[in-house]
Amino acid sequence: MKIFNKYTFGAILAFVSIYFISCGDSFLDTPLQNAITSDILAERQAGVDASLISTYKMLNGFTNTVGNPWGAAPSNYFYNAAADDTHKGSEPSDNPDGYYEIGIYQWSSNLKAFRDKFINLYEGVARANKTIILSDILVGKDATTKAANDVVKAEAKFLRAWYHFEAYKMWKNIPYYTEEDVKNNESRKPNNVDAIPLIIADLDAAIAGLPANKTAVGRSDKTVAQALKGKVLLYKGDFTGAKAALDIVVNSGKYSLTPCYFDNFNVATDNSSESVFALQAAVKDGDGDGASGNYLERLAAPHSGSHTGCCGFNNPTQDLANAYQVDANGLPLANWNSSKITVGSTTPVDPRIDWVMGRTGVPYLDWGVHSNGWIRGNGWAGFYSPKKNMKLTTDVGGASWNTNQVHSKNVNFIRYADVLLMLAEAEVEAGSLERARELVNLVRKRAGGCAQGPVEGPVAVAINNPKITWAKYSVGEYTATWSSKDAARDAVRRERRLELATEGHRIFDLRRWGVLKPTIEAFRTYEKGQINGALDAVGPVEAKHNVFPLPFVEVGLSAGALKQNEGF
Amino acid sequence: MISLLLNSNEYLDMTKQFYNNGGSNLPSYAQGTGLPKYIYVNPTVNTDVTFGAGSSVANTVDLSKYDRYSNPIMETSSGTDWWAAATRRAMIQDHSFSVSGGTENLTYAVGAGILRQEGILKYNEFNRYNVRANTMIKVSNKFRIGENFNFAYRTDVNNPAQSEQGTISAIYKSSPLAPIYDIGTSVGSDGERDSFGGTKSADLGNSTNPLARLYRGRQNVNQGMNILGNLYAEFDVISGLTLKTDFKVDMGSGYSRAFSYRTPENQEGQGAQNFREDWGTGSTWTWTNTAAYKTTLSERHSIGALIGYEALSGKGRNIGGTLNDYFTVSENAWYLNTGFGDATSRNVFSGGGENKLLSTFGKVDYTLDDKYFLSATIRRDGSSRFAPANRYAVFPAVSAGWRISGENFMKDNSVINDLKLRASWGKTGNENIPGYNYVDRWGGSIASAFYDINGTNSSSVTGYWQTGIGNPNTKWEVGVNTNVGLDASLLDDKLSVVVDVYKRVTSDLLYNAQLPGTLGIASVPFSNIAQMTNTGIDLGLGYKGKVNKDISYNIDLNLSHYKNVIDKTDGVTDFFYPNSQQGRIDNRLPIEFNINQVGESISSFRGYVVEGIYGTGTTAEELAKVEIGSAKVGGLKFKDIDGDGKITEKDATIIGNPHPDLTGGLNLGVSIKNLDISAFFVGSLGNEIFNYVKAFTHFRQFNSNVDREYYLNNGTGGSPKLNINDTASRLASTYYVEDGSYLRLGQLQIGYNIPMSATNKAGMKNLKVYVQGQNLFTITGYSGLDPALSNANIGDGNNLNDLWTGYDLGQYPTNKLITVGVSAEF
Repeated sequence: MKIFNKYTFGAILAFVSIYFISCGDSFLDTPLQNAITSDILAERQAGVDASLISTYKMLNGFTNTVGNPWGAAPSNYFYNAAADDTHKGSEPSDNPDGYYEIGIYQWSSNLKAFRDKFINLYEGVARANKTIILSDILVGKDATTKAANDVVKAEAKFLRAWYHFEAYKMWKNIPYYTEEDVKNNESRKPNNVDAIPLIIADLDAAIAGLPANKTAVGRSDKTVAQALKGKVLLYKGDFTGAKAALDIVVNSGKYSLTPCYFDNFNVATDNSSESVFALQAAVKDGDGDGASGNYLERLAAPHSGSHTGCCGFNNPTQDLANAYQVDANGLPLANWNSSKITVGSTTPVDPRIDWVMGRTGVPYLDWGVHSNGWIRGNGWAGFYSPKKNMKLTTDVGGASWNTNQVHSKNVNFIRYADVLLMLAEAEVEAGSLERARELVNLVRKRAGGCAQGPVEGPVAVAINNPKITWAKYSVGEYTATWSSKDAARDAVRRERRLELATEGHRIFDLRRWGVLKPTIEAFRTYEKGQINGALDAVGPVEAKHNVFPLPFVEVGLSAGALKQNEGF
Repeated sequence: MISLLLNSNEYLDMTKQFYNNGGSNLPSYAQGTGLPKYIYVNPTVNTDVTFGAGSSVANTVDLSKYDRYSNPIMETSSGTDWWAAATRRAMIQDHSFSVSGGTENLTYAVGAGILRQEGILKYNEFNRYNVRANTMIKVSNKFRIGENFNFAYRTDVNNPAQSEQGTISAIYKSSPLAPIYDIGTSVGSDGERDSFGGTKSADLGNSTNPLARLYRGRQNVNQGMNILGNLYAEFDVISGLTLKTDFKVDMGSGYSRAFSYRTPENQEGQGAQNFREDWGTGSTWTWTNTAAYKTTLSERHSIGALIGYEALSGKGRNIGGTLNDYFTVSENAWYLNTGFGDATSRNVFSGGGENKLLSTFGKVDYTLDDKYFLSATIRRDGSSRFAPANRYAVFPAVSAGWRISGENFMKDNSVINDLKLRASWGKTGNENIPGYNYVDRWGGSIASAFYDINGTNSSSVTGYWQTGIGNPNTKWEVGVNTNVGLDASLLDDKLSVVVDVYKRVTSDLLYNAQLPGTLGIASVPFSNIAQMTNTGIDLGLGYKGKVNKDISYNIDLNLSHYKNVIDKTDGVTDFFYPNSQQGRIDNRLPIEFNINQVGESISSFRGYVVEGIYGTGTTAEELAKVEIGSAKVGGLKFKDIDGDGKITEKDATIIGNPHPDLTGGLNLGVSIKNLDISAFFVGSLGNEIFNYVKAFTHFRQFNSNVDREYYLNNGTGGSPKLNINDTASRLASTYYVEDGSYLRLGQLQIGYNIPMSATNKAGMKNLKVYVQGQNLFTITGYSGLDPALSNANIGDGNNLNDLWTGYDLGQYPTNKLITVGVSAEF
């Protein structure tokens, strides 16, 4: 038998040749789909700029990639529930991510909110660092881009300082990440190094490289960086340094208080003369879910009966309401909880109360009169709705879940009144009580500039408008010299609470002032008798509560690098 | 079971216990003597209503102000049975036919089938249609070609998700006080009443009306088609040497759409009408070429050899979009054109990817005297999913067999008919990870990277971020299998025994474990993170018997036991968590309750160990030692694992795992003349289930309804007392872990073959009628709906669902099914 004929030879040849055709090494090369590489981004300035934009984006706290990280909300309203201004709100067991436990001082390091905040802040840090790396690569390729990239890097460093400082406020003992760590794939740095000098160093670099004036309203500039630096130094207790930085902001002449307090909480007057640094919120920008808006802030809205339809969290406390009582001279009371403030009372109140909280019987911006039905838990967490973060009927809303919840109102990070009051704190410690009084009076004078208007409008009217039937408004300036440093300090701190209520500062202020324990204990003593349950399960306030616990999982995943805060 | 939730009066009493035990004031609906007449009235439209006044509420409600959207009015239900409202008896039709035949040079088989299956949840159905054709043509004595072709089309309407937001969850979360419908009478497009009631009233949680969910989803369709076909040719070059080439194509496309309605009846109602649709297509071709040679050298030696190579190339692409705030709910306008909704809300997205595999392999078989068998295989596989340096891996395997019964000393053994001993060792690989895992990936979207830097309020500037972290070092996962087995046939081949003992060491385990949060939110890469070992034994026993010429029977039993242990990790930490648990399960416990730790089984449950109940004498100091929540008298007492005198996060430990000690199946069959009876039992022993549903049905997360058994016995027999202010007991603990052992009658069938004499007249070769029952009963101690869990659907499509085995997140239960069937052969 002939073993090979021409057909069998042909078949074997085909078999072998197919192998060489199909099995070249290049067969397995599959070019990256639906993504690009950093090399491509670093080819042009536009790529580097876009990376910087994404770094700013993290100010929002929300991306649509990891569920809803409510605890990462930019205004820190979750954490402020641990102070005396707001309750978690809603119903007893409606408890997203540990919001309830934060308010009642049961701070398990496992609470999801802590980790959401941590991861999202470090995402901001990571984006800043990667922007710096891209920027360096581009300059290495094209030296003509150096000037532009110096500014990019200064902005990135400002943001890196910003995110680290937010983490510092939360946990104090934090790891500090730079672009070198990204290059080295470092993700397990210890948290035993004081972050403040590192934050200041980044801010100094930012101040050196940033332009004198913002090139876009959402960006930072030298003055913005000085404002943050002043704040950081205040947290450090360096009042001289804080004063120097904040004086630069004040003396720049770039900022002024708006005529009406409400201008700070009105979409139409976003980025007013008072706005130093803010989250630039947007809706109807092409994302149907409102991810660029006040997405994570929206739980802090009145409930079903209201125009927003959800979710009834972040209810202001009775204690805060009472704090707006004033004496015959329009000055706040030292012992504000001696009487409960009610709607329609003839006891004079600071008009800011009705910009801070929705009270039943009082018009709620231009949405009609606030009713008890807007409160979710039937008094379980109080009687007031949050108000500063609400849009007007005429403002554009996001389309997704509920049109009126998501909107483009900016979240104020640093506004000029905050700067003035921080400076006042520094002046008090420097012994310049009169300068401090002058600063506080600027804020108080403006507080008298307008009040919530009647249902038929307009939204803001003069505080003595005859149509105001629900309150007697009065606000006065401190006309007499403060008797002592202590008295001055008290007055400045009280003003800070009234002016910045529910804007996310209070818990951090109480901590840095070292008054957390007495303040919260006094608050509970009063508030428990007013509300219906939300404080029934509170834990004791201890020294450890001056910081939040680092996320349990992060401590574990760091393989020993992160040391848990003392007491947790 | 879900049907054992509370009715309205029990619910009211439960609420009172819940609040009173915690020392808190009652919610509004529970403050009166009985239930209020109305559970929801909009207080801004009607004058402010205090529900506490009980039935007097009715006096203040002006029914004429009713409006479905702005002012729904709901009467309090005397006890809505949401389970009954949302489910039904369902019908399944399954028809199939096939024809086969041929000549010496041509064989064929064609067939078609139709399956129409209603779900037990209302408005839920699944349909599948398929046709297939197989042919083989003998071109010459040496050359054969053939093809197989299968086409399938399926539609899946309103498929329920298993999650906290799913329909099953909505059933147990919904209060019995909420009515199915409000006082309105409006109807939907199909004429059915759609003025749904719900949980809108304060303190009734955020559940959604399960029936409303189903009704509104009735036009939400997921459909797809799939074509699977191959064409092959075989050529016998010389005697014993066959070349074969086979080209296979698997292509498909899928489409889905979902419309979401406004939900005015809900506590957290949706205010806008939104729509989403997705379309995708994918195809994979595989080209396999082999050369096989087989020869017998002499009477005693037989040798076979095979070499081959195979190339696989898959590609997929999808596109989808969303548009919000639809002008109408009409299905006819469910398109993404901007005119139908809010133009600025339109979001379009697309994706795609490809993957390739390239393999070369060879195999040699040697048989001596039909008693001794040796086989060796080696293959080299390359995968596009790894970086170029790590693409290829080599996987050898050897096996040997000894047919002992072929030896002379066994020749005349009357008991043992056949006995074979087997042993094998081999390596296998796994590359099942997403593509491009090895490279850093950057991208952008409005939601994740854009920012309105110019403060326009409506226009965000383009941003880019690193969406994925690459790991260029990731390589093939390798499994080393060692197996010893025994096959025996005894007692005139009536009894068969198969035993296998194995050990599988999986090294370089591919896993996308969580990385430190300091890296941010970019998706983490799959890495070779650990080594784990499975050791096990499988036993199969079968017996076929005959009583007389009319009666025969058979018994088949399969048993499996295995042990899984993680031997080591990459060394940075001795544990790892599944990726992104945060965000995928609403974290209500709150803890990482799925952990992989050295020395333990993969996917172990993690939590606190319950060691009792805090009795009435417990001091405040004792309770204060609990730092993870507010512990209460009557609540669960957790064990102080680390002995520091306090209960902290560090006291969480491994509290169970989903791996069974034993799984098995038992098949029983009896045939009496023309009657066949068969039963199939399936069971599992010693596996544990993490019953996450208890967070709701016991601990009332989101004011959920409560399991009746628990309500009646709470505070006794080791169960914690209902207490609104006990925030410790609800944490992940052994209280959630239950024995998931079960025995189920998987199938019982009674069939009757119509006697040939009758069928032949009708031109039929064979006609059989049968009645079949599936899942007729289950014996289990598990308190959830169904101990036979499918994997929790938490993964993002990366085939990682097996890492969430044993978690009951609101399982869609296995249906009880009665089938009446006819099968005919012509």
